[in-house]
Amino acid sequence: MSVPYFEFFAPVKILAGNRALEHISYELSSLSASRPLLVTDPGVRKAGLVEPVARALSEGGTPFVATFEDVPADSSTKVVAACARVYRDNRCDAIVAVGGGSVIDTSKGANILVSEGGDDVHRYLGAGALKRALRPFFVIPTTAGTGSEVTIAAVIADPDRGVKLAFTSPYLLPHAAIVDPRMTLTLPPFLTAATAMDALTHATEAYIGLAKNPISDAYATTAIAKIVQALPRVLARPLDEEARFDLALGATIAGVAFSSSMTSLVHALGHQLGAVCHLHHGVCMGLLLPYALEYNLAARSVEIGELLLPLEGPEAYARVMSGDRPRAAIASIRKLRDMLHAKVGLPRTLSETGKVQRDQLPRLAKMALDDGALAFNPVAVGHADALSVLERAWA
Amino acid sequence: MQAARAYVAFMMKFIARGLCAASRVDEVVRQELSPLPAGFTFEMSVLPAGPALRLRKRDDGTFVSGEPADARPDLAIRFKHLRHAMASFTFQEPTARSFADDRMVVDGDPALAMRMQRMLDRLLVLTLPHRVAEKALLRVPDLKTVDKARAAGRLWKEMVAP
Ligand SMILES: [Fe+2]
Repeated sequence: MSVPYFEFFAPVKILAGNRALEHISYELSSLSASRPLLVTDPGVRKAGLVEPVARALSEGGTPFVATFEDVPADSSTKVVAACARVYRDNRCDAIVAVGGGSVIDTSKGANILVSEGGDDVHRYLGAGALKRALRPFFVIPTTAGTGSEVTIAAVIADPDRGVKLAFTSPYLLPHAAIVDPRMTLTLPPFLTAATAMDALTHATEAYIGLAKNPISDAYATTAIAKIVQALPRVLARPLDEEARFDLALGATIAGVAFSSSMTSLVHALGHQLGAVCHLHHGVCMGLLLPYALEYNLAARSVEIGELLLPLEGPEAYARVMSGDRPRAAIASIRKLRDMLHAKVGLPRTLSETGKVQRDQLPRLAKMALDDGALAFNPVAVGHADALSVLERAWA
Repeated sequence: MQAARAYVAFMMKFIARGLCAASRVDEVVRQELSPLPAGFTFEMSVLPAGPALRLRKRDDGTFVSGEPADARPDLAIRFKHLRHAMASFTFQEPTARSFADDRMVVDGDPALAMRMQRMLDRLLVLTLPHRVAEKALLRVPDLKTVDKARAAGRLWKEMVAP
């Protein structure tokens, strides 16, 4: 085997920890911005998460001059255009996104429009369509899962054509991602568990995918350890700021890992379950992960075995013979899955979700073959393979 | 460099000719191609101005090959350097590896890229000796020897036909 080649690119400044929100005003002014637009959704507002951000910015001398709050669960080109209008009408000069994946992707799309002009985001599709930095843009994730605060992608639905547009550009990266323990403190247990499984899957798939590399490996293993250690603590004591912070940070670190190494089979299948059966993304991740790992043992048993260390810690790792580690690592993830089922009712199988019909599986498997994530799976996946993984996840 | 360029140009021609022929006679490629709209264009090239191929889907559902035009293709795969194209086309590494290693830029809908990749894989399976195909692909599908011979025979016949 010759020397490998890889690329790693993760230039997002991360403001993490105690009173992180109180750093945004300074960061805004260092980019010569003073009129931020708040982009969020009603759920985030209702959870009381806008208030600490707004206060931190007011006290810092850079209050929000406008708010765009109409972000639905799945963002669209229309929403993006409306958001850009609010920005322009209020002569804003920066965007602060507070929310989950949809809010963040909407903000990325709006930032394209307010920076490059026009209200048709289609014009900026395709590799290399964006050629220069966009307006100051900050992201405050509230779900500890998607990792979208550190990725170059935005997925925005085009309702007229019924398709999802995938934008990728390094310029979509925010200037800073803010991980503040206050922002995930009130996330309900079920969503906490589901989004944590999403983050765990990001790190795991980054570690075993075709694009894995030593730098993203370091992020992936750090993320896995943080997530699996913090999640039980958070579920036991939801208001434990330290545990919440560890979990949120783990999700962001996992985001850095997969922004470089991408995701694979779990996401390729999960995207279809989300689109067709409207399953929560994190729920799909949690129930598919063990089976996709089993499938990938054929090419990645060593790497999967190595995951036992961040999953179970050094003592447990040392106790298991190296040949048994791959199975032990998968067993550890299953154990986590079963614990989450017992504690918060996260479904363990596709049948348990109550939203999937077994006769849908062949079609879902077929759709998954067109998912770009599959290009990074270490083992080739055909229709029969994808279907076999879904079948095993059925019950 | 000259030789590498000539080799890559030859392989581009081979792929273009192979996919056009397969779009006429190979059931697998025809099925992959069928959902794409007529007029769909695919381009594969070497940056900055290296050899290139362009395919367009005609109204009758088959591919026709032509020179790259100014209009943006629906899907483009661009090798970042001649040497990367060379490594792929001499089957030193699977194309999946080249893609994961960022040796190329894929411009267009990822779903189209996955579909195109399956067609390219099929072409390689039918035209390369098994041992070479094993290097070019993550996995060589388990075709029955007779089936493969029959499909490959049909394809070769179509490719060398005037
Ligand atoms: Fe995900």
